[in-house]
Amino acid sequence: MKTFDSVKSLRHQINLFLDNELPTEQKEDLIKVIESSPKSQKIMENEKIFRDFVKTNFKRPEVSQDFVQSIKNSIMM
Amino acid sequence: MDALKTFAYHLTYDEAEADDLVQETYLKAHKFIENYDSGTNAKAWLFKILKNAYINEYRKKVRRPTQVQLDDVVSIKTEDEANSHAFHDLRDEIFEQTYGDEVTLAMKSLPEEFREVIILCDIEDFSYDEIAKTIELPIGTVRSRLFRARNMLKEKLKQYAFTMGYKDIRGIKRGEYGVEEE
Repeated sequence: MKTFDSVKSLRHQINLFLDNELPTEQKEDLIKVIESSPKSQKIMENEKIFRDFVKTNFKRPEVSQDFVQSIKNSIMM
Repeated sequence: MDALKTFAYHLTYDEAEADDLVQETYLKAHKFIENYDSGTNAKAWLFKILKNAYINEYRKKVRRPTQVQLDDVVSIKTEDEANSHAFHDLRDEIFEQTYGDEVTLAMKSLPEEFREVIILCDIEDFSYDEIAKTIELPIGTVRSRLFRARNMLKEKLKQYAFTMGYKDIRGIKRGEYGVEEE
């Protein structure tokens, strides 16, 4: 089974995996590591929690209908 | 349009300036629509126009100092990099106990170069390739910058957690993460 030379490199791989940017072969290796290691599963879960937290609490300013209409009007001119 | 406004707001942190940028983006997109490569990601194309408008006009207007490529010249040693071999990272587990405003404040405190990759990837779900094209960087730089940006954001959020009384008291031995023993 593949091992990682540091927690940092494991976290890096997990990030790539969650971003859907890991090549298939590396993805399979990583899944094996995670399936066999509860601590690695915990890192994975925590990364997901972090991402969900950021996405949920990220400020998204409102776009008013007046603003949308003003852009449409500008384009029509 | 919501996504563009969000991106513009988190570049300027000013609602009026963000509206101006979004409006300018749509006007430019309309004017130069023939430059759009049909079949490619229209959202990424609009984000690229907005980012360029921000660089060329807004940032110049407010006379912000030129920002260097931090990836190349700054060695930011986050706690993760310094201690990840020895300790489990509290940053990963504090987020359920903190409050929403901290995310905005923490994001605002990040350098723009790091902020934008988090927004594009984690908020807007862009692929690395789309991010690379939007902000005109090699994909490898996007990858490393994103990893660093997330660590920086966690670090900022951890600081908020500490102010709320959370402490990192857990030590994790090597070998517990599928990590090679020395």
